[in-house]
Order: sequence, then C-alpha cells, then structure tokens
Amino acid sequence: MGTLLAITIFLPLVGVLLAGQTRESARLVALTVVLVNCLLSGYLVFSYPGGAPSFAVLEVPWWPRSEATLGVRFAMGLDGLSLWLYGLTSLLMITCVLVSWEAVKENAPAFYRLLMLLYTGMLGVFVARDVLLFYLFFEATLIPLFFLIGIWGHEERRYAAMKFFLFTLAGSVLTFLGLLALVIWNAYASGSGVVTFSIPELTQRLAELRERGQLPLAFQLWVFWALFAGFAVKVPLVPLHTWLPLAHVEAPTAGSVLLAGILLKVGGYGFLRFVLPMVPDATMQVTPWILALSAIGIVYGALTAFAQRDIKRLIAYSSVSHLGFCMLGVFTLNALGLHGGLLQMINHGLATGGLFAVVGMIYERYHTRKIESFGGLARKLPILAFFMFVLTFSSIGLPGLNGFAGEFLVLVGMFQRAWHVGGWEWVFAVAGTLGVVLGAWYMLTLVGRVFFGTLREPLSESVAARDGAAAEQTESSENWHTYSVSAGQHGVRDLSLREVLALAPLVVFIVWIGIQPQFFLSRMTPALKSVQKPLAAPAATQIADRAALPARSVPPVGDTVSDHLTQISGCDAQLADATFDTGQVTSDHPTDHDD
Amino acid sequence: MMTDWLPEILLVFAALLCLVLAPFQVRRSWFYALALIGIVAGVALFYLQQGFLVSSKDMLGVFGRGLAFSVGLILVLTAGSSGQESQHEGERLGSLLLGIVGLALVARAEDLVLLFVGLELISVASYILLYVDREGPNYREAATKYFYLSVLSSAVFLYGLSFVYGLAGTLSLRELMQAGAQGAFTGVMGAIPLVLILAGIGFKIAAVPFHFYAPDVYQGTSHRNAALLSALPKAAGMLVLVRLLLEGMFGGPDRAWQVVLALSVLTMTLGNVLALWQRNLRRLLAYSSIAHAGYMLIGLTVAMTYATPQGHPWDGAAALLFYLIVYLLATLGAFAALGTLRLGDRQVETLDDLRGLAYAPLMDLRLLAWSLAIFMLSLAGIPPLAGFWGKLAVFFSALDVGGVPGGGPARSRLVFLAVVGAVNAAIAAAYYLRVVSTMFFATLPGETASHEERTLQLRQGAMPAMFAVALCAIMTVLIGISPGRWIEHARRASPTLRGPQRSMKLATMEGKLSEMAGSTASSLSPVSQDPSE
Repeated sequence: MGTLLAITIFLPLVGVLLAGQTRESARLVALTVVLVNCLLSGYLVFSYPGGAPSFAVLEVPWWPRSEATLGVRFAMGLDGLSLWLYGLTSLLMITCVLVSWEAVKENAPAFYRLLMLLYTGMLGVFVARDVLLFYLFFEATLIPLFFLIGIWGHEERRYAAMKFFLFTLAGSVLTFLGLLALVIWNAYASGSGVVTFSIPELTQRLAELRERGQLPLAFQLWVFWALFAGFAVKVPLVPLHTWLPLAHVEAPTAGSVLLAGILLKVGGYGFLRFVLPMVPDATMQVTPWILALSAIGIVYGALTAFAQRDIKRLIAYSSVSHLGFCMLGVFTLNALGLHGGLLQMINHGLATGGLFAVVGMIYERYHTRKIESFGGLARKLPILAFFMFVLTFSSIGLPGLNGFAGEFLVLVGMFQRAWHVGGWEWVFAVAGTLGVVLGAWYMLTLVGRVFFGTLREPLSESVAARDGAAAEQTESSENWHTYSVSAGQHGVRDLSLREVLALAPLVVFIVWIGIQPQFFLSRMTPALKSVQKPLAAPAATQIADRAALPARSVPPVGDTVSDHLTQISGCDAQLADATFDTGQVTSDHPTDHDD
Repeated sequence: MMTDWLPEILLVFAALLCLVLAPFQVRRSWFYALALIGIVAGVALFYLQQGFLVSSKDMLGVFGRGLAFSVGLILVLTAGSSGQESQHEGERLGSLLLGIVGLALVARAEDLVLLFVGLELISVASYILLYVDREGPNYREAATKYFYLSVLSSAVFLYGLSFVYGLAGTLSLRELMQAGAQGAFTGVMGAIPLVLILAGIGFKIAAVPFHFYAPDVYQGTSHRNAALLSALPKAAGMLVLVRLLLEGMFGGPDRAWQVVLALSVLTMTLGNVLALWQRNLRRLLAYSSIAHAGYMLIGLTVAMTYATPQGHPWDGAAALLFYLIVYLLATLGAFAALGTLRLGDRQVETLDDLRGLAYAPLMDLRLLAWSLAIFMLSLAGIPPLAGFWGKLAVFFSALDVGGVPGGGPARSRLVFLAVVGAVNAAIAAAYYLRVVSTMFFATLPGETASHEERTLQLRQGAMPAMFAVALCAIMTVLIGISPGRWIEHARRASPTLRGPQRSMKLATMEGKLSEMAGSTASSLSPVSQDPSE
C-alpha cells in the first residue's frame, strides 16, 4: 500500500515529462494521469480500514549519506486527518483538467505541466510524515500556483500572484522556524540529543515531555504564534485574508478551484496536524482569541460577500466565511467541533471548488462575471443551473446535503463549548449561527438574481461580432450590454458532456456525505481522538498553572462522542439526537438536560 | 607533496601562456580554448586526485579548492568572447585564471603570508579584469572605485594580521592554532585583530558597513565581471573568516560573536530592503549578494559561540560552507544567463529589458528564462531548490544553539538572529519574484510579436555560457532534491565539528563552554579527553 501511495504522489511527475509540445497531447496526458491517479487514490482511500491510526506508511531514507545524523526520512502515509483531503485532491483535479480543456488556449503544455507539479505538491503536503518533507511540499505548491495565476490569470494577475506568494511565504517562513524550534526542543529537553523530524514520533515525544512538565507554556506560546503565522495566512483567518479574494478572482478557473478546494485546507490541516497536538497548552490558552477571529471572519466574510457585484468575488468572500466555520470547529477543541471542522473543510472543497468551476463556465460563455448583467439563466442553461443549485444548497448547508452535517457539528460543538466556558463564547456561537443565515442570504440572492427572473444576458464578444448592428443600438457605454432576448438567439450552449463530467463527481460526493456522513466521520475519528487527547486532559504540571486562569477548562467530552458518531445512521435527525445525547451523557453539568 | 599542487600549477601555466601570447597576433578564440583546456584539466586533475591519490587531512582546504576549481570552470565558461570586444582577450582570460588560483591558494594556505598573497592575487586579477573588459556601461568608474577601496581594505586586513603575529608570535596557521588554544586572543588585545580582520574581509564579502562599492561596481561593469566579483572575493573572504577566526583565533575574545551578529543583521536587512527598489539587474543582484553575505554570517556567528553540541546536523561553519555552495551556484548561474543576452548592441541592463523573455521565439531564450526563474527562486529559498536547504542549514544552526537549555547569553540572541533571517527571507522573495514575474507575466503569451523593435537575442558564441547556465540550473535542482551529500562535504570541512586533529582545540573549548552551556560541555568532554595530539 505504501508503494501505491508513493506511485500516486509521483505519477503526476511522469505526466510532466510526457506532456509533449501540443495542446492536444498535453491535455490528454493530463487527463489520463488524473483519471488513473484518481482510481488509484480512490482505491487507497476506500480500502482504509476504519479505526486504524495510520495506513499505507512508506519510509525510506532520503539522504543516504547523512541519514544517521540528520534523521530526515522520506516518510509518507495516510491517517484520519489526511485521508479525505488526499482523496479530495484527486477528485478536484479531474474537475480542474476538464474545466481547463477549452479555456486554456495559450501555452497549454506549460499549463498542464504546472498543474501536474501542483498536483504532486498538494498530495505530498497531506501524506508527508516528516516535518521537512511537509514543509517542502507546502512551499513547493507555491511555485506552480504562482505561475498559474501570473500567466493564465485575468487583468490584475501579476499583482495577485505576487501578493499571494509573498503573503504565504512571509507567514510560512515563521512557521518553518516554529517547526524547527519544536524539533530542536525535543532533541534537548528529552536529553537524548537525537534530532528527529518524523511527525508521529515528534508528536508522541512532545506529549511525553509535556507530561513530565518539560514543555513550558511560554515556549509553547512562542511556537504557537510562529506556527499560527503561516497557517492562519493559508486558512485565511480574517486580518490576514486580503490576498485571498484577489488571488481567487484573478486566477484561471483551475487555479481558483484548487486554491479554494485544496490549498486553503492546508492551513486548517496544519493546525490539526501540528498546532493542536504539539503545543496543546498554548492552544488552550489562545483559543478564545482564535475563536473570536473565526467568528469575525464568518460574519465579515458573509457581509462582504453580500456587497460584491462580481460572482467570483462573492464566492471568494464566501470562502473567508466558510473557512471561519472550519476554524471555529477546530478550535472548539471538543470532538464534535473537530469532526465538524474537518468535515467542513471537505465540504467547502467540494462546494466552493464546484462553484468556482461553474463561474468559470459562465465566464467562458459570456466573458463577464458581473451579477447585474445576468438574469433568468435557469431557462437558458438548465443543466448549469441545476449544478449551481446543488452546489449552492451544499454551500448554505441544506439538510440532506453535505454542508448541513459539517455546519451542524461545528455549531453543536461550539454551543457545547459555550455552555461550559460561558462568557464571550456565547457570542462566538451566536455569530456562527448568524453566519449560516447570512450565508443562505447572499448565496440565494446570487442565485435568485442570476438564474431567475426575466432572462438577461450580457452581450458576449462572439455575439457582438455577429450581430453588431443590434449592439450599436443599445445605449450602454460598457462593453457588456444587457438586453432581453428570447432563449436560443445567442450562440450560448448549455453544458457539454465534458463539463457535466467535470461537475458530476463533486455532486455525487455532496449527496453521499449528506446522506451518510458517519461513513466519512468514522474514518476521521481515531486521528481526531489522538489530536484531542492532550486537549481534554491537561498535563499534571499545568493544572496549577491553568487553575489560576479563569474559564479555560474544556469539557471532558471525547471518547464517548466519537464512539457515538460512528454509530450514527444516515438520517440527519438521528445525527442530531445522537450528538445531543452524548452531550448529556458526558457532561458534568446537570443543567445540560434541558433540551 | 608536489603532486598535490598540480592543478594549481597547471592553471598558473595556462594563465602565463595566455599573458605571454597576448601581445602577439594570435586569434582571440585560441586564448579562450587555452583557458578552457586549462581549467577543465585542472578540475579533472583535482577530482581525480581527491578520488584516488591524495588523502589530505585539511578538509577545509580540500573543500575550498574544490569550490575554487568548480567556480573557476563556471567563470571561464561564462567569460567567453563575443565578436566585438577589446583586444585584450589574452590578458583578460589570463587574469581570470590567476584569480581562480588565488582562491585555491586562500583555501589551502597554511601560512598567513600565503593567505594574504592568495587574496591579493584575486584582487589584482579583479582590477585588471574590471578595466580590460569594456562591455560595462561605466567600466572606468567601476574599476577605479573597486581598486581604491580594495587596496584600503587589504591594508586594513594586513594591519590586522600584524596584530595576530604580534599576539601569537607566528605566521604559520598550525602554530597559530596552538597559540589560539592557549588563549592568545581572548583578551582585549584579541579584539583589535578581530575587528581589523572583519573590516578587511567585510569589504571582500560586501558586508554592510563595507558594502558601498558593490552596487556601483556591479552596475558599472559587465555581467561576467559581476559574476567574478560576486564569487571569488566572497568565497575567499568566507574561507578566510572560517580559517582565521574559527580555526586560528578560536573566535577571538568571548563576546566576539556579538560583533558578527550585528554585522549579520545589518547586512541581511539592508541588503534585502535596498534591493527592493532596484530596477537595474546587476545592482539588484549586488544587493542580493550583500544580503546573502548576511545569511552566511549567521553561520559564522553561531560557529563563534562554539556552543553547537556534538553530532548535531549543522554547526555554524558547516551551514556557512553549505550556504556558500548554494549561493554561488544560483548567483553565478544568474549572471551567466544574463550575460548571454543581448538587446540590440548592448547587454541587458534593467528589469524591463527582460520583459516577456519566457515567450521569446527562440527556444534557447525560453530555457534561459526558466533557468533564471530557478536561480531566483533558489536565492529566495523556496523548496525544493538548493537555496532552501541553505536557509534551513543556517536557521537550524542558529536555533540549535538557541535551543540549548541554559545556553547562556547566546541563546536568545541567536533565536533573534534566526527570526531576523526568516523575516528577511520573506522580504527578499519580493524582488526575486519581481524578476520572475517580469519575464513570465509582463506580456500575454501571444503578444510578443508586437514589439519587434527591441527583441532580445543571444550574443555570439554563447554556447559555453549556456552550458554553464545549464550546469548551474541542474545542480541547483539536484541539490534541492538530494542535498545530503553536499551537506556532508560541508560538515567534514567544518573546523568546529569534531575530527581527530581537532581534539586539542576542543580541550580548550571546554573551558569556554563551561561558562556558556553546562550541558553541552559535558557532552563534549569524552572527545576532549583524547590527548593524542
């Protein structure tokens, strides 16, 4: 299995070599690689035995000559944290190649080569089990995306690419120092002097150090903020989000899909993989602030999205809001929230990735993304509208689709935390709930304006060339004219089979996660349980320290909730009951029974 | 042993032949062929000897000579003649070969006089090259400026050496080590040679208060001379610092590392920040090379605290030496690539000249654009390119000492140094990316045909330089993918890591360490008890 995993990581590199010189050969090779890789990684993901801590582990020495002193190994493997993100990457790559099929005309071989490089980088980030390997892939994803945005992007592409790269890099160099500090601290404080970069080993040893009181809070806080710098930019949490709308809007469709679908998840994944398990005391100390930032992000992102007049920009800001949800879930630090946060990352990848693809298809047809120039598209493009509806409903959390399961778990987790901690946490919980309402508001407004009402279409360039006389009669000074015409007059067609195939896999998983979330949640549970363990039980030496600080204790919900989650059957109502039940069972609060 | 000197002798012979033949009516390409044969034979001989014949105890010397010949190969390949330049081809190539020999001499010197002669050989070669090569826009200004400041710095350095002699009573590095081990340089008097040496070498490596010449000189001269100035004096200066400050003087007085720390912070920050505003390519790369000197000084700072525990992956000196390889590959590659380009009848000057290079009709030009992108990203320290491992090495070395429990005053300041380095890496990315984005994003793929009036071309006879570019690019990627072997070379060359001939040094270090880091000293003691030398 480990070998198969390595094959899926490096198969795209073979694609880079074989891509050839012409557009046809390049896209054909890319599609073949992506399909084969999706089958292979799908096989890997679905053969993951539920309950296993890790799977498909492969470790080989990387630097043969200095292995003894450096301990850097080429180690990869899957576990509950990375499993679905790994699968999602392969799934979204199909969408990316198919939406770029006609859209990318210039320099297509280079485009698909960079896309394949990015593919390897993204898979590598999730499967790396070595700190250096993780950081290597983490940064290596920047280069291809930088070129993808900068070469094939829209008008502001140069500025967007630079801003994206510099923001991410500025944060991630500090993250890098934080990771090195952890590695070195482990080497000294344990007294062994052995430098290890292996992530599982490091996590375990740091946990042991913490139990012995050799991981002081001050050190943890420094490391926390260093790690935070990189991951929070990547997520992005609110004051650090300004690169995101720009990069999303200026990127080519495939770039936007991958940026929203995968690369933003690297931030959340980093928090789950490094921050929570390795510096738990600092995490607990800082949690209220992160929750506040997440809550602000949810509301601010939603309100800003509502104010946008560009479809792509609206969806970009909705990403800020949705990623706030993921962070809210992760930083509830209880089992429900962690499950919800991780599931919400997958959901956001499917829904927003799909939405960007749909926007790309609209743009390909009309060469504009202005909301006010559209209306009633559902009549003209029923298939596209269908996909748009499904993705929108998934995005706003309609029960029965995947968004509901994620948002619901996040909110229940947050309310549970608020119940125990009190104070400002209630505000965050309410803000999160408000975010759901706002999300539905702006997304449905968008759909209502663009897809319903009387048919209004912008005048695309090809149409303008064909009936230029008609165009001259309209008085608008802009180059996108809006006027009502009967369907079929323009040369705009509904989705082709290729485009349907690009979106269909996403919809399949949106529905699947919606009706059977426990299949996906149960495979996350073992990993999340170990993430949560140090957070639920503070180290002996820290108790006195933390007792002095008010309102920082975390309810001891953990194992039972996770166990219950695995038993939840598909129905959402039962999901709700089960989660509330566990709240009763495990809570110390007698007043928790009131529902 | 005489055979050990063969590569250097061969190069000197080739150089002298070039210089002697220069006044005669010899075809210019012959000089180039002669220089190329000389350096290729030298490199081949060196590696053959290292592989089969000679087993030297002086690993730093071997490392430095390997660096000298490899850099020399790239420089000679880059220095190829184009059709229209001066009559002084023989002098130019002869001086270049002598400069390369100078670096090899610095690397292997066992005596302060030979060390100084090696440095001066590089300087004298640079003066001639700066004046003889008339391709640069302001070559006279560049040559004059460099000459006067370089002479001044040599004098300061020599003055420092005289104090070293006064304190230790010897010119031999081997005896200097013994004197240093007995604490000859620890007092206040030790600070004087240290400061003078740092000032003199600071000029060679373009560290910040001594950097003023670099941007002007680089901008005024040609690309191949800028390549030379960014490689030979810098490598020589770094080798001298390692050799003299670490090996000979044991880091000087106890707090001497703080001086280097200040130099390092200033050099990195000023170099990177000032580079942000540059539009001229050579000026930009000059500031970049200043900044990289700062990163290397991080390694020196760490090494001078002598607090790196045994067996750890990187001590400061190893990090410095590894960084040197990485920096040289990318910088030489970048200058070589820029040197092959021609815009009309002049060389490329500003960033705008590179506009749309990635979409040039000629395949070679497109490859050049990709190679330049590799060099810039490597200099910016983005994985998986070699530059990343260089940054990792210096940051790790700083944090490694910073992480020693009870590490004394060094601890927090070295962590601070690592943080400054990391922030600088982010700042630097801005101007490296601007170069990349100018080549790749400034025009749409289809638009290149529209501006015919200023098309970039390859200069005549650019094949060897293209080969050098390819060599550097491939090495940058290869080291990026598998750096272990090269890190191992640097580690073996590091004088502060253990080795049989270093046990004496460690014995005295123990005294120092006992006040700096209790726990580290205990881990060192088993080695220092070995009195074999």
